[in-house]
Amino acid sequence: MNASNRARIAAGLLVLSGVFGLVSAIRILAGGSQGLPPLPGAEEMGGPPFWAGLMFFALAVAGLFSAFGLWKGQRWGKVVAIVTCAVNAVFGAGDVLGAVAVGSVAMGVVMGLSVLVYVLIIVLVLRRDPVPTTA
Amino acid sequence: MSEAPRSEPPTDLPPRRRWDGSGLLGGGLLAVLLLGYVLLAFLGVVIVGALLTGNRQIVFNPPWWLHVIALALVTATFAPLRRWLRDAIDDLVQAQEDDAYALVGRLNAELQQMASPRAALPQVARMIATDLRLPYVHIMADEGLAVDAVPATMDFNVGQPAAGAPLSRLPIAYLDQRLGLLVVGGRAAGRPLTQRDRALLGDVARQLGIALYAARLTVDLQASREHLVAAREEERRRIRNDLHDGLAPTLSALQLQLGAIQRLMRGRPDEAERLMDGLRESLRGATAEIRRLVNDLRPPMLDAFGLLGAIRQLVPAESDIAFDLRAPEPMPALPAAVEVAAYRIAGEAIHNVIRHSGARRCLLRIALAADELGLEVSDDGRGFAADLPVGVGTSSMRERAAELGGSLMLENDLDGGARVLARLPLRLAPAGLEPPGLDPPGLEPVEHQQPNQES
Repeated sequence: MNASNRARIAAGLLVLSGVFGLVSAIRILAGGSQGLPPLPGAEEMGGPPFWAGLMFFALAVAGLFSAFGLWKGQRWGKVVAIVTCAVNAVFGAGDVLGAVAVGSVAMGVVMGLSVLVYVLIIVLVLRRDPVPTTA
Repeated sequence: MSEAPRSEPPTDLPPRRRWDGSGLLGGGLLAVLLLGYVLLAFLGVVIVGALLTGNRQIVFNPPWWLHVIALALVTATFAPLRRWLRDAIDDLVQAQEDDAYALVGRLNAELQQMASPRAALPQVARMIATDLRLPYVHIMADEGLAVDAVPATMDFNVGQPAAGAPLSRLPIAYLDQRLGLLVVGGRAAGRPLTQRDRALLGDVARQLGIALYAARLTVDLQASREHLVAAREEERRRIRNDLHDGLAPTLSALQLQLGAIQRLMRGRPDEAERLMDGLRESLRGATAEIRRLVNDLRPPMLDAFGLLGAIRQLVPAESDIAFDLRAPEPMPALPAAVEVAAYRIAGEAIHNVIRHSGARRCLLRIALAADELGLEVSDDGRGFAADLPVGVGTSSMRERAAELGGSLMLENDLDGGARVLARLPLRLAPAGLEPPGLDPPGLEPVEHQQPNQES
């Protein structure tokens, strides 16, 4: 697979995860300053706060923005995609941790998959072409 | 390529190379990714630990052994991951600009405006180094033949190779001619150029090849023009000397003799008659001198008998060698320069066969293609000696072919004997002025072979 195809696959994955993140962020933001109610069984942990909604919204927009740059083969697209995916992956791992804590298998699987997708995007963007044997 | 390369002193890279923020960007990205990896590794170990032990509460307060496992995982994988990330990020931030072919466009513009390759190549080398963020670019280019017919080489350096970095060499060529070499140094030790770099540099080398080829053609054309002018002036000088040193004194002597005859005619008619005999001899000599001058300008045989007839006249009537001339008949009208060259080459080759070959048979063959005349003289003699020195005759044949843009080949046949093959282009005149009777361009070469035994 050449670099152009890798970038396009990464852009496609970024669009999917960006749309998913955007929907999640809008749900949180729609809850107003109170945020979303906590998951069942995690009442003492509370739901995601309002600022988390703002942050997810910003990350989702950045992800979609970087997908455009990646599709066009622009270097800034790669840089923004790497940063966005790294932050998203860390937050996603935190969500998996929360899902494990409250025993939510569905949320754990979804967030675990999203973490894998973000790591895959980073690998696709950073992976280099094989070097010819003769210099 | 190059005798006597004229190397230019190395040029420093432009200042923006050192402070363009790419180091900061790369460092920032590396830090973000490594920090993210450490966090992910720790969270992953805690999650797996919670799932394996079935104790979900440990995610709030992980036990010490999970910390140890996470630390061990990070310690074991940190260095190789850091190395991979650093190389990948370096490629990302130090590679050429997003629009890689902007470089080719700018290069093209630079080459189109160049007064000469010597003036443009330093700028081109700097452009490549800057746009591709390469620490070292070296262009060696053949400048074509200088006036003294010695190939000159241009040699430009930009920057210095990074310590331990591999050098990549890309030939600069056009058609089948190698015109130079583009040498670029990798960005860091042990890191050759990426495939993208190489593809772009390949395009750059091709552009350079076209430009250098055009420049070389210009130099060659100029040299050729100078050669033509020099040859014309040399010919004029020779004719002038011949007229001045040969014919002019003869005519002056004739004038004096006529004056003497006039004075002696009445008083001493016998003496006048004796002088008139001398005058007749002098006139005969002057006539011969004029004929020699005219023959030197163009062999009269060509006008009298045409090319084939003139070549037949070259063959001695009495000879132990059986000559066989095969050629298209009637021979179409040929450019005068081609006729003269073919006639002179045939004459020299026949002379060599008679004097040196020891042959019993000699075949002269003339073939006409759409755009060239082929002349072949082959014999069944002893062939060329391996250590045959280049004689005046051989040089003369080569020069006559080369003057018209043709070629001459001397070789030994596998069956024994020698072969001289000359190829002379027919399209010497500008378009629209081709001599009549030639095959139109695009036709396959046609070799008319009508046996025409000559002895």
